[in-house]
Formats: sequence, structure tokens, C-alpha cells
Amino acid sequence: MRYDACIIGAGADGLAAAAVLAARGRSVMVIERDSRCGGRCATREFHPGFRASPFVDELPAIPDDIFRALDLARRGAIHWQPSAASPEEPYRSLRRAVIARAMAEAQTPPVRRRFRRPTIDPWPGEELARLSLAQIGAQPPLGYVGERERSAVLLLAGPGGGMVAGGLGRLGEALRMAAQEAGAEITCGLEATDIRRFDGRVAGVALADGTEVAARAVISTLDLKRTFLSLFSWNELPAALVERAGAFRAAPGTARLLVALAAPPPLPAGVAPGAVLWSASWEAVEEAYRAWRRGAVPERPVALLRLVSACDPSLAPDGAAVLTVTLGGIPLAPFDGAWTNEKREGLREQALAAVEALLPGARERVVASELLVPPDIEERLGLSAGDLSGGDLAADQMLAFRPFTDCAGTRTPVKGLYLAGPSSALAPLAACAGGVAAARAVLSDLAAGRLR
Amino acid sequence: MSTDLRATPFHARSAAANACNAWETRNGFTLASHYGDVAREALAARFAAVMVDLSWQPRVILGEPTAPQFASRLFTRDVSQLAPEEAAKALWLNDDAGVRGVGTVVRLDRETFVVISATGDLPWFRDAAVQFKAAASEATGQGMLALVGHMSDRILRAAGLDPSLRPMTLRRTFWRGLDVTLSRLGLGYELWCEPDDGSIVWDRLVAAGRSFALRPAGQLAMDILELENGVVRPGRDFAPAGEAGGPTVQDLGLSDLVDARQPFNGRAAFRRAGSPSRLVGLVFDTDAPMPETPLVRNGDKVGRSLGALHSPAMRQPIGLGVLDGGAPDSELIAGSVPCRAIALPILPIPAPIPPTTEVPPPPV
Repeated sequence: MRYDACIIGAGADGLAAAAVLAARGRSVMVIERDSRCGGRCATREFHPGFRASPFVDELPAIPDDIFRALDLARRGAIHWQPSAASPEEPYRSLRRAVIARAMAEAQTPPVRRRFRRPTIDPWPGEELARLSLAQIGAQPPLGYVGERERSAVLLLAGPGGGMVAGGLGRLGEALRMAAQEAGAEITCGLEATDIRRFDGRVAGVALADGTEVAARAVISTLDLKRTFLSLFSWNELPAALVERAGAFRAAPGTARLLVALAAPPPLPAGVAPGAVLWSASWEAVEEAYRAWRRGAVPERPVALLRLVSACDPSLAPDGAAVLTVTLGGIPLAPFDGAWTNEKREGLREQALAAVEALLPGARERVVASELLVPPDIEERLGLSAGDLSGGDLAADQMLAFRPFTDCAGTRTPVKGLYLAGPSSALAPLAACAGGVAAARAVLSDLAAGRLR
Repeated sequence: MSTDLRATPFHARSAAANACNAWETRNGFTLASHYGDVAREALAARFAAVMVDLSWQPRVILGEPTAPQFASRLFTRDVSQLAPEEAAKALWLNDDAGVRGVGTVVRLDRETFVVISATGDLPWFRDAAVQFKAAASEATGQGMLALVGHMSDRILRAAGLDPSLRPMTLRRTFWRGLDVTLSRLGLGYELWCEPDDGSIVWDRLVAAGRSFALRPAGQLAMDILELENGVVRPGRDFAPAGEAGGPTVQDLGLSDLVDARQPFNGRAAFRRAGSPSRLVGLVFDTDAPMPETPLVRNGDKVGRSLGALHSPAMRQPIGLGVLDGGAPDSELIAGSVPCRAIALPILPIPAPIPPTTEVPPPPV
């Protein structure tokens, strides 16, 4: 059978794309290498009775129209904003304008004429790219690891979707239900190894078990490097494209520590249950960034603490608590060699010291903890460099320049291939939006006869 | 209804928690509208649990040996068949089958029933009781605190109360020196207490709920939760009938609460009023229309809308509506607003999650 679309990766974007395409009557096959759907939308028992979302606590917000269209609340994904909605205005409005622009372009591709460069209006928010964080007097954004001279455009990105009742796994489950109930087929436990082309167009996807899925369009939700550098033969794509994909820069790595506590530590006054605790100054953020650049683990990693069970007690046994620590500026491979047990224990110690500094009395209540360093995230999620943000959030890798101008929006230079993963333009701004944009582009191209 | 403002048994604690001083009046009682954030209070019931003061809800006690006969003629379901400490939802109608009230009828013992509803209707009950040599009186002063959310049974257990209770039943119990009644009549549990015990009950629940993210919620959050669960409330979702006329059972889609074999008041008019209609949930794309807006499918009027409000969990306006026929899960137009009819409940409160394993001791 030849599918209208084959989607690589059953994360939030892939499942949202599948749901939109299937709801419009298109035949869809989703390929997932893991044994379960959801990607980073996962919740796991890391110690008996203690559960947490291992990779992230929250995603960027899902736009309201997508949230409603996929009926996610009735499928069990109830969101909660522990603190004020982020980002604040005017960045929130700009974010919406960028999403609207990308969706419009997905439905109506910009006209490109031979021998003439297309004239494309700048995307909303591009004016921010000319300003630095220091120039607009911004405090370090939550979890940011970088210099204060970096472009202010990254204020559009970041989390803000809120926690999900029962953990992010419930969102993954809700998206899976939305896709399957719409009629999409999902195959888990099989890795896509190659994208097949015929006559210059995408023709299907080859799988690890030797079978092939024929499709008129392929939506890749893998990151840019995995899409272009591992799913095609080395000489199949134009050298310029391969070079461009290779030059795409990763963001500073992230490590996560999931901590089981015998009892909840007292929260500092004025901190809402489930809100992020951190105390990063520009000096600390820049120091961590410089350490990451040299391949060293920062002496004081940027640590974000969240007592997740304070707002969602279902994650912990009665009377106990779950704390997550997100550590920024952690190298994929330290300069002195790969991650060893000693290095992991050293990082765990640093993280627990940060916990004790921000939540006095928490350390003595620790029952168990689990550490994930960037290579673990790379292996489990299949993300290049374990980079959860899918690429550095620099001015030249954001908005219309993400992942690069020929790929802006969702269409790629390879006919029939669409990009919707963490490296796509919308990924840092909104969850599911990149997948929906890709699905709308496929629907528009199928209807217009641009896909044979 | 008295014009004097009254305080519920939980008022002192509620006032201390109500930092933004947001109050409203229901049935003459001063109540917290919200404690700072309506949306978060409604969402908290889905993450953990909330406690809401329901002491304002009028409770009418029907007594005397003839009370079972009286109750079986009064309500649209045969509540005289209830065992003591069981309850049922029922309607009471006027002679024209207009719905005067919707409520929960609880049988306390062989001769005593209590009717809990948003509209007390005591004078009417009293007049009707005379004909049956029964008595109707208002239960005053007792506190009723609702505990809603999937952590509520774990909180009750931590507080030393046994939460094992079937829906629509209650249990009178002695709770560390207090006479209380624990019931499951609404969205979660309700704890009934004597007026003077209100503050103690509140404090005990707060202490037990500390590690379960329990928080107080105001009346507006409870309205949202009720609507999400498809609870129709007179006065909010429809104007109850008076002595004559008024909305019929069919107008409100409440036929499920009527046992037509039962010789209740207004049965003849009910039978004449036509075929059963269906109460459904409505989800709106944009702002919700006013109540009583016609629902149109393919140009034909197929029903009308009742109350509506914004659901923070659904991120869109939701409401209740009555469909004359046809299945839910269909696209409709309410006034000029596109909407979708869905089966109730729109978004049920999750069932209590069984307690997880014991916490392992910290390493020595």
C-alpha cells in the first residue's frame, strides 16, 4: 500500500501531524523507533512509587486552536501553569504572529520563480534578532545558558506549556489517541533507516527490518542532522545542503536529575507549588556557557529545580515528594573523555548541592535519584548531541532562518520531504505546531497536485 | 429566603484564606467567589483536590411517619424504596410538569428524608406536606464541605476517615471527637458537620491535605467543575418553574431522572409534554451564546442552549444544551456560533487513584 504520508517519529509533532492528516481522510503511517509513542512526552517510574517526566517537565505551549482541534483535554491532557504565563508580553503576541505566519506559508507556499530570488517579507519578531539581551536589559531567561550579548530573539522560545496532570506521558498518550482515532497507523519499535527517492522525489521510507513504506510525502520529526545526514545516502543530496545541515549548531547540553524524596521539603515563601526555583545571575549563566564551550562540566551548572509533586501529588507515594533538577551547560562529551561513573557521580553531587542551596533540608530526605546526561538523552530520544532544543537558539537559527532559509517553514529542498522536528522553525515556540504546519503543507500540496 | 447575610460554619477559615476579598452571596450566605484564581482552582481538582464550602445549599427535611408516602408522590423517582443512608437524584414538578427543582434526596432513616438542592422551595414543600400529614422544615446551620479531585480519598485516609463509600450513599461517623457525616452525593466527597465544628473540620482537612496539594476553591470554580461534569443547576442553567408553567422535563432534557411508573405530582402533564429529549454538552469555537439560544443543524432547529462558561481545562467555552432528537457528536450552530454537541459528562473528574506503594525508608 502506498500511503499519502509517512511520518518518522511519534513525538508530539509527529502524532499531531498524523492526527491532522488522518482527520482529513489521508492515509498515514507513523514510524517510531521506541517501543512507545510520545518521544519526550514520557512519564516513567524511576524508583518504586515515584514517577517523573524524565526529559522535560513541560513543553512550549500548544496553540489553543490545535489543542481544541485534537480534543486533548478530553483525552486526558490537562495543563497547569504553576506561575505566570511565559513568555510575557509582547513576546507572547509575537509568538502567536510567528505561528500564524508559518501556518499561512504552509498552506500557501511562497511563489519561487526560476532565476529570481523570491522576495519574502521578514517574519514577525525578526526585529528582535538585531537586539541583544543586554541591550533590552533582559534578565537571563529561565534555564538559559549563554552570553548576554546573544540575540534577544530567543525570548520567543522556551517552555511555557505548563505541567500536565499525571506527567507529560499523559500528553503523549492523548496525542496517540487523537492520531489513532482519526485513522492513522502507528508502528512502534522499528527505526527508519533511509528515505527512498525516485525521479527526484521522495518515494518512501526504508525500515530497519528491511521493509519499505511507500508514501507520497514524508514528514521527518527527527532533528535536522539526523534527517539529512543519516536518512539519505552520503552522495544523494546536493553538497551545499549537506554542508548546511552539518553546520547547524547544537545548543548547550542538558542533564536531568530525578530525585525521590521521603517527604516534601518546605518551599520558600511566595513560591507557587510546581514553580521553577533557580538562582542564576548573568555571571553564573555566562560562566556555565564558557565551560560548556571548552567541553568542561561547569563548576556551578545552571540548575532549575521543580518540586513537581507539589502541584501533581499523583507522581509520588503518600507523604513523599518528587523533585526534578534540570542542569544546563553540560557537554555531550567532556574534553577529557566520555562520561564515566565518576563523572556522573560528580555531577550528581553538584546537582544535590544546588538542591540543598535552593531548598534547605531537601538533601537529607533524598531516597533515590536518577541522572540523565546528554549521551543518555541522545540515545533514548534519538536526538543529535542530546540537544533537547534541537539546535542553538541563535539569531541565524531562529524564525525564517531555522533550520536555514531554504528550509524555512516546513518544506525542504527535497521534494516531498517536510521537516517538523525540534529543528523546525516552530519547534522552540510551540509544541505540536511544527507537526500541524507540516501536515497542512502536505494537505495543500496533495490537493494542488504538487505531490504525485 | 432571608435578606440578612449569613456566615457559613467555615466562614472564619474561608475569610483568612480569601486574600483578595472576593465574596458573593448564595441563598443569603456570604461565600468566597474565588481565592485568587478561578481557573487554577478549577484545574487543581484535576491535579490534586480542592475543598469547596457548600453549606449554602438549602436542605429541607421531610419528617413524620407519612414522609415515605409523601416523598414518593413528590419526587419523580420512588425515593421511598431507598435504604437508609442512600440517596437519589430526582426532580419535583408543578401541576403543569414544570420543573420546580432538581436535587438529591437522601433517606436518613425510616421516616426522615433530606432534600439538597440549589433552590430550597421550602414553602411549597411545607404546603404539600400538610396534605400528607407530613412535616417539612429547613435544616439550618450545618456545615457541608465538598472535597473534589482524584486525591480526595487519599486526603480523607490521611485525615483518619475511611473513604470507602459507594456513590450516592452517606455514612454518619465519629471523627476524633466530632460527629460528622461523610457522603458521596456530588462530584466528590462531602463532609457534613455541626456549625461549631466548621473551623476544626477545615483545619484537619488542610493539615491532612498539605502533602496532597489540597487548596480551597471558590464557588466559581465549583460552577466550572459542575458544568464540565454535566450537572444542571436551577437558577444557573435554567429558571425554575413557579406554581404553573415553566420549563418542562423535556425542555431540560432531564427525562433520565423521571420514572414514569411513579405517581408523582405533574405526571399527567409530563406524559402529555411529548417525547424525551436529551441533555448534551456543547463546546463552542468562540464566545458562548446566551442561554435559550436555538441550536440549528442544517437549517433546522434541533434544540436550545442552557448555561455556559469558559472551561480552563478545555481552553474554550462550554455549556449545556437540550437536543430534541438525534445523536450527540454533531456539528451545530448556536445563534451565530459554531459548536459541537457531545455526550455528558463533557470532562469528568477523574476517579480516585488507588494509593501507591509504601515509601521506602531513607538509606541509613
